[in-house]
Formats: sequence, structure tokens, C-alpha cells
Amino acid sequence: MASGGGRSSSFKVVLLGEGCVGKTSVVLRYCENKFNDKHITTLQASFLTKKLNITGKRVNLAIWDTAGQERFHALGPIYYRDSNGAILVYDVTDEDSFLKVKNWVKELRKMLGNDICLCIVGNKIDLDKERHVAEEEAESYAESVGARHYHTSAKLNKGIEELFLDLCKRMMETAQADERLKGSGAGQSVPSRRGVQIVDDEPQAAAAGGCCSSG
Amino acid sequence: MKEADDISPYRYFVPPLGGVSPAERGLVWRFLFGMYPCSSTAAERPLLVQQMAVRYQVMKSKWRQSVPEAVRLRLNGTDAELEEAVRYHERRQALLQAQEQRGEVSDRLAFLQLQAQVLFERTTFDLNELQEAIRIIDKDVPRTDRDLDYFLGEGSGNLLVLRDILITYAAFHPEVSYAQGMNDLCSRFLEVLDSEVDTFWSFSCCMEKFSKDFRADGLHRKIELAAALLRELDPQLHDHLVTEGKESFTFCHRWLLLGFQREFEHGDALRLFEVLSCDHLELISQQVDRARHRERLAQTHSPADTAPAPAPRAVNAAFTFELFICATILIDHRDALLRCRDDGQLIQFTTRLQGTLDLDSILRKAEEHFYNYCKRCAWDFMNGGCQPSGNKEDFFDQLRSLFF
Repeated sequence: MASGGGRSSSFKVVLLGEGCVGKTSVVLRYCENKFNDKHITTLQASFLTKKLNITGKRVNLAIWDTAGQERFHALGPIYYRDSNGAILVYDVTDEDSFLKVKNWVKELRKMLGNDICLCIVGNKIDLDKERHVAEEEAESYAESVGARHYHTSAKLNKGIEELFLDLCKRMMETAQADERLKGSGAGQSVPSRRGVQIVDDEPQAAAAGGCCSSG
Repeated sequence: MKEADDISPYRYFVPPLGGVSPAERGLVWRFLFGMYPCSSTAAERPLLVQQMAVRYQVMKSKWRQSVPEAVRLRLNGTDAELEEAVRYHERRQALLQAQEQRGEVSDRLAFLQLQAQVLFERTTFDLNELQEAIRIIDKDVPRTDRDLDYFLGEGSGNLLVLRDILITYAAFHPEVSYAQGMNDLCSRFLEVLDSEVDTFWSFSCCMEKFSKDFRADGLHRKIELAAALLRELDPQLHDHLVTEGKESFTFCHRWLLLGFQREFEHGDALRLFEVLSCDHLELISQQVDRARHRERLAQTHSPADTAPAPAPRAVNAAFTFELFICATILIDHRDALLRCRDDGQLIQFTTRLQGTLDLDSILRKAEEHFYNYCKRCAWDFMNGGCQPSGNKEDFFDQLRSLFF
């Protein structure tokens, strides 16, 4: 659960994007401060955790790194279900990978609405001279879909810390706003379908809630 | 089935659970995967290889003509090793070409070339699809495990060979094209056979069986079967893994896509692939089928068989030995798994398992589970089928004789 009330909060974050844009590298840099030039393809999702402290509040991040393979796109919902944040990664040297990000945005907005904090991340800025995605275009696109745009280089360890820190703050704000909403409007309770499922929380009920209260 | 006919005598070449010695592996694989027909003679095989080589070259040049911009791997100047690999590869290609030009073109070779050209004359490519496949192949080939000896130093040029094979395969099998993981599978063949042409044909034969695993529905079905088998063998563990909001068995995805290639040490992974590919312990083998058929005949012709037998629980032939391996690993770690409460913990569990598994012990236990499953199904069959008692022994004898 995105338990915002207590002293510590837990959030689920999922990384999505085309193959070879650097999803695994971003996560490994952030969680273990490692970088491997010769990383092999990710074939199934992996899962890492990170604990951090933001203005005195403990935050536990559960980070899901997924495989970029198109063929198994159908597995996507399994991984982004109940996510508080999504990091949609593209490779700044590859325009097609940016188009794939747009598809992910559409799908996430459709399936999860505005509850999820979206980050669009242009990775590999160390290859800036090969850049094929214009900065302004990416940033204005992100703004148009209510996402934030970031530039990173997992190789040079640039922008990664900032990306996750910023995302955490936004997820905390969203969680707090949810709490307030829950507290004020007694009649329309927000279906608690978000957050790391440590407590068994009847996923069926969440789905049903989503379809009935289309408000 | 034709392939089953071809392969069945040769599966006995591979010791049931031991694999073959690495020195003989190349030859055995050429038979095992059907590149050499089992009925071929030593005199025929060189001619066959020549024909395959010519065909492959014609196929390769066909896609190269259609997408000339993709003949060379695009480099962005960041991977020095890969650039060196391209140089090694191009040098080797130039040498080969020079050799070919020196050699005379025999009548036979000229005929084979003409034949191959006619054969692929009408092949057309969907250029968009092909370019997209090449784009992904070019991203994945450098991300194949290149720490293997075979891809080190000058061997790195083999990455470019792998690329050509994958593109040729994708171009001529548009219904399969390319999907992640095929690079790993194909690199296994290239390493063992060390020949571009032979790898292409062996890989193509192998894909006849495995291509469905590289489609989402095919893999999904396999994952479902893995769960179904575990339900037979360990219902409690199965119930724990498929309930409580968990996505059933997605943590086995990589195991089942690549036949555990990334779970074991490299030599063991090759051996396991060989063991699985020789179909030694498979419920679909013709011998099992024949035994079952005889059993059914005996049942229908039995004079004592007065009442129609109720449908007994039959052996589910879709449970491959690979699935038994999967179930064995899970059962082996059942205590740890029973403690996992969500998908995250399950995924972490599979990640931690990498490199810690003992292949020999797993093979032994999987074999035991396999026999126990056969035995149990047979008992159910006997009990449910109201058979005269004389038949019981027969069936067990047959079953035993199949595998020893």
C-alpha cells in the first residue's frame, strides 16, 4: 500500500520502454551504483528495492525492471498493475524508442488513469552527438501528457539520483492528496488499488471499483 | 511424424541424462536437430552440406539486396570491442571470398547455385517488418553473452556471424521473425557447430519445435502447463503459488523461454539443452504412444471387458521433461517458496537461484518425478478402467522397458 499516513511509505515503480534503451542500467546504477557496458538482454522482469529518507520520512521503493521485448507486451499489465510511478525510458539516439514511449503513455493513462506518476526519461545523454530525439519535442510532449521529462546517463551516473528523488516526492504528494480525499469525502472512497501489495488486498475488488465509479 | 521418425534412433546416442562429450557434440547435434537426416550416408553428407551452403548464401544475398543499408551493422562509436569485432569479421570474410574466387566453380556447384536461385526467385520480403527485425537484432546481438570464450578476442567476429544468421532466419520466416532470446538460443548452436551454414540449418530445424515459445501465447501455454504439472506433483505448493493475487508462474518465464540457459553454469546449460532435445524421457515419444495404443487395444478386445470403462485419468503428454525439471526445481525449494508472499519475492527468489543449481541432482530428481507420475497415472488407469488383473503387470513391464 502507498501508506502515506505512517512514518514510512512504500511505493511501487515500474520501468518500461523498448529493448536496449538502458532500463536495467538505470536501475542498477540507482540501486547498486554499478554500470556494465556489456549487459545481456533482460528476458523477464526483475525486482530491486531501495530504501531512502526524504525530509525525515522513510521511503521503501520496490522497483520493477521489465523486459523490453515487444513480443511479450501482453505481460506488461502484470508488472505495471498497482504501480505508483512509471519510468518510461527511451534512448536519445533512437527515435523509434521515443515512439514506443508514447504508446506506453497511452496505455498507462488508459489503464491506470491519472493516479500514476509518469516520468519520461531520455537515457544515454553521453551520446549527445548522436542524438535523434529533439530535447524540446520530448519535453513539450511530456508536459502535454502530464508527465515530467528527465535526461539521464546511466553510464556517467548523470540525472539518475535526481530522477528517483523527484519521482518519490511526487508519489508522496499524490499519496497525501489521496489520503486527504479519503478523509474528506466519506461517500466516495478512493479504491485502494495502488502500492506494493504486501497485504492481501483482493485485486478483484479493485478492478470492480474501477469500472463502477467512473468519476 | 516424419521428424520423430528421423530423430528417434539417434536419441540413444545421447546418454540419457549425461549429455555427450564436448568433442563429439558438434557431430551429434547435426543429427540430433535434423540437419543431417538420420538415413544419410557418409558419402551423401558432404554433398548435402554443399547444397545447404549454396542455399544459405543465396538466401543471405537475397535479403542483402533488398535492404542494402543493413548489410553492415550500424555502429555509434561507443563500443570499441564491437568495432573491433566488425573488423575481425570483415577480414575473415575477405579471406573466404578470395579463397572462393581462386577455386574453380564445378558444374555441380553451378547447378546447385542455379537451383537455389530458382527456389528463392519468388521470395519477397515485407521490408518494414524486415527492417524492424534487423533493428532489434542489431540491438540484441551485442547483448548476447559475449563473455563466453567463443566470443572473446578474434572470436568477437562471431557476433557478426550470429547477426547474419538471425537476419536470414527472420527474413525467410516472417511468421516467426525475431524475438529476444533467439539470439541466446542461436549462439548456443554457433558455439557448438562453429559454422555459419550449419548453425543456420540446425537452428532453423530447432525452431520448428521452439518457435511457438517465442510467441506470447505459446509461452503462456507453456507456463500454464508448468503450473498444471506442479499441481499434479505438489498440490500444496501449487496452490500457494497461484493464489493470493500472484500472477501464476511468471517468475518461470526465463526458465521456460531458454531451457534454463541462464540458470546453470554454461557447460551444464549446454548439457541440459542436449538432454532436453534428445526427447529421451518424453511422454510423446513413439514408444510410449505405441505402448498406450497396445494397452487400449488390449482393453477393447478383452473378453472380460463387459461394462464400458469410465474415462481414466490419462497421462498428459503435454508435460515435457523440461516441465518436470521446472517442477523439480520448485519442489526442491518448496520451503523458501512457501515463504514468498508476493510476485516481487518470487522474482527475487528466481534471481537468487541463478548459478546455485546442481544439474545432476536436479536431473535425477526430475527423472524420479517423471516415473512416479507415469506410475501414478497407470494406477489410476488400472483402477478406473476395471481391468482384469493380468494386465497390470503387462503395463508396468511395458512402461519399464520403454526407458531402460
